[in-house]
Amino acid sequence: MSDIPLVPEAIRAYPRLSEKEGLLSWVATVDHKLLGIMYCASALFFFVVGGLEALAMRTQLGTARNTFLSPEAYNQIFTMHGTTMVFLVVVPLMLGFGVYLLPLMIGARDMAFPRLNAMGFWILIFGGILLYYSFVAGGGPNSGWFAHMPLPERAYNSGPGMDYWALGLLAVGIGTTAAGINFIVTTLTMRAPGMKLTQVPMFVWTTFINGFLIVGAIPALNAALVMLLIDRQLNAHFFTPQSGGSSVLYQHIFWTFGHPEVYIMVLPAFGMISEVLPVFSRKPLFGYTAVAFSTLAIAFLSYTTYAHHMFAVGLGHVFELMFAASSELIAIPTGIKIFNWIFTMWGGKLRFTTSMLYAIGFILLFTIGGISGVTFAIVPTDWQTTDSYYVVAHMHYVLFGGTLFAVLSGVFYWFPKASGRMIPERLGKLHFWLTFIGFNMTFFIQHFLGLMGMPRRVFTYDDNTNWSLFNLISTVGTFILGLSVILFIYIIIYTLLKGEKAGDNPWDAWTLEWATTSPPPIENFQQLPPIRSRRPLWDLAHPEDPDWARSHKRRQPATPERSNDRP
Amino acid sequence: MFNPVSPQGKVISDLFILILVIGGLVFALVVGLTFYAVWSGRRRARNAESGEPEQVSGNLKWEIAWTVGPAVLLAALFVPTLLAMNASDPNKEQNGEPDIIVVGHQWWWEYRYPKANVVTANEMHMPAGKQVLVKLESADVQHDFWVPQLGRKMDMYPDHPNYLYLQSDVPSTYLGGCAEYCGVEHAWMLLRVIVQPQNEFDAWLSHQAQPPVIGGPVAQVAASPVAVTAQTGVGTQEAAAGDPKRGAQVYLNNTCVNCHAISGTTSQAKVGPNLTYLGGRSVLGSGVVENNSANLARWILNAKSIKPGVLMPAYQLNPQDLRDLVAYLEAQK
Repeated sequence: MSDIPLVPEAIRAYPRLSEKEGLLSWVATVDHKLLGIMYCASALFFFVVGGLEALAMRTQLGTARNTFLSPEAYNQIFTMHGTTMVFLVVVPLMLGFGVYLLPLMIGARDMAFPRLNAMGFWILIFGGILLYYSFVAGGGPNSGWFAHMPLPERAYNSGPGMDYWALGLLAVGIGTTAAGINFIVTTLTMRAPGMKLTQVPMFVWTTFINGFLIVGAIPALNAALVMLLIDRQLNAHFFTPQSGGSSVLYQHIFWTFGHPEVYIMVLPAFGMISEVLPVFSRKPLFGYTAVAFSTLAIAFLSYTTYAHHMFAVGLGHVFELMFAASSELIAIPTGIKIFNWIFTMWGGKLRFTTSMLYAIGFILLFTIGGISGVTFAIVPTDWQTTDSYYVVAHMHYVLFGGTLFAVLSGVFYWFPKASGRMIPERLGKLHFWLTFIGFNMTFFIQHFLGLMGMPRRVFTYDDNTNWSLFNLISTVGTFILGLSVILFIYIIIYTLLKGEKAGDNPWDAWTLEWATTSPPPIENFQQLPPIRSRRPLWDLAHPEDPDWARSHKRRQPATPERSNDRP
Repeated sequence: MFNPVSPQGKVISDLFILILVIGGLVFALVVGLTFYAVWSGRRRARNAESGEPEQVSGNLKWEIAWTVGPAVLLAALFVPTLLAMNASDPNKEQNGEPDIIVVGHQWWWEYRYPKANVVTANEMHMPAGKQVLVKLESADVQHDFWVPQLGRKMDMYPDHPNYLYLQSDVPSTYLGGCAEYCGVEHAWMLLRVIVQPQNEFDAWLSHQAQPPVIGGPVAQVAASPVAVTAQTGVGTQEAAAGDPKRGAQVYLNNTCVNCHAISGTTSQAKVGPNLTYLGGRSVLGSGVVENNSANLARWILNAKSIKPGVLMPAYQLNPQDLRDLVAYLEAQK
């Protein structure tokens, strides 16, 4: 046991309040685990808010010429639905999982900058409150989540909503950037002794790369927001064409942020899938290097593809072809991942836990989203499908069927670690099927609506052939999704109160977070197992066939004495 | 978009179907592999044999295969993309005079036929079987011109004009709408493109070029009694008809003229839709309601009750003035 490295002692103890302080200990904490849980809990709160907004929208769209919502109300609600889901739900979920898991996975005590970590979270929450305060202050933002100019300018938008929108997102952006910096530094400097960068779990890789994406992309958004604020408050003319500005300029700046943002919202989800699939297939991740490199490739390419959001602008064929080529390129690393995940399951012994069901559901739904995404890279088809319900369907397949299914897979996988209690599988599987059916019912049919000519962001529509029927089906699906959210909250509460004890490693998983107690103690680890491969706990359980004795370069089955595996 | 009536639209439709087929095959492959992996993995897990499966961690050959495969497929797709771009959106003579100028407004469409000096609104007429060069502009915020059956959509900016070739070989009325969110009434900024045989179109255009003539008892139009009564509370008998000649005076004496234009009169403002030959249009408010006397009366009294957020203010006209005004506008067919 001499090769077990001890966790290095902190030079100075982190200031922490003890658990006796109750609620105050949550507010004042700099512990990455509490902050991670708070990120996820606040994301769940905003998910419920954004979900209620979606229910209101779908109710309004249930039949043609419905008058459930006024157009003013509808426009504020769809803007806030998009803004909430992107900036206050999906991104915080990615950050929350990163903040919670990153130190545990690399055997560290905490993030590199614990106070920055806490600051990032609270600023993000402050930004969220600021956004929603706009409703009290005289009208919410109403220009859509990407706020194409010059509609949000003062001449067309005299209410305070867009000012709150810009200020709120500025705050959210600062918080997000703080977390991004923390991810980079933590991964580079806080890994346990002996753990190489090529040995960290895939989720650490994706979160690490996500850090760079955040640090690179958010400044573009913040620049656009500041310019909008200067336009609105100080009567400048950045984006007002009537007085010499350029409205297209805003689109260039916004989508320079906007497309990497898509990957900020999905890369860590790829990481979660890459953790869950191997454990429930009882095999290592297929092609670790390929998955890591394809993540890197996606991150680089994501900065070069932004203008495929702008093919309808009329920027010229040469310009559009450049971005068509780069957008098609990004499909390649994404495809690599899909096949690597399938071949991770291939030849394994599969255990169909709720988490695994969500991971398999993710592969199928994300593939649909990826294939419909090719339509937007191919310029002429983009000219037809962009800004229609087809794009609404596409992005929900990527962000809901993709990211959110991966997150749910991650929730069912890591909840026992964070809470120390097991989620009842029967309830979990009911939740999966409810979500799966509700999701597909809501969004698959929207592809057809888009192709039939229904533009997005309309508060109502004329009674054209089949439009009412298709919209009604979509609306019914939304209510099934609503039920699944209620069930999810029930599951969480039930598990916290009555769930069975989980133990340290209920799934027989192999990465470091399972080497400590559930929930982990405040210092995370008393001692670490030796780290000589990507799966330290496998090495510990299988001294006769450790990973480090095997070559990763080629297809290499176990050692010749395979039959001596666990009897 | 699957019933294209123009060569431009058909190219895109065909390309979309090609992508759909290829995408469908790829999806079938992914689903097939996934289900096989799931099914065999389930069977293996149920087998009595315990122990872990073979610890395969990669296979370079396969990984190269599924990198190169999609790359080749996408590179191959690039060729039809290029061809379809040129076919569906050919290079335009930027200097050539456009046949039609479309100006997007919050929330209606202005159509100008510069060669015939005609301005109209909300219903676009074009000749069948002929390629028409359309210039797209915006008077305020960003809009987008999209008639799915005719081909691509194109954004409209206050910054710079865009050009588009439109063509339809089948005379009919095609529906579309503004596809870029443009504010409160984005949903009711619908497009109607009326494609007519060349001779009918020519007749329509030369008719529009003439200022409307109002007069004579023939032009009297019956206002729908019930609806006008409901709105104005006037008895049915007198409400039966209005006098268009007097209506013209009502129009010119009110603030209508501050925003609207009718050719042949002193009213030439360009803020709201041009009302010349309004009676010949089939819808009001850019597609929100059918164009009939009752709806027109409601619209004049309180447009916001039909289209909330519309920029036109409510008018307080006495019943007789309203009837006459409606009769005047409807008489111009």
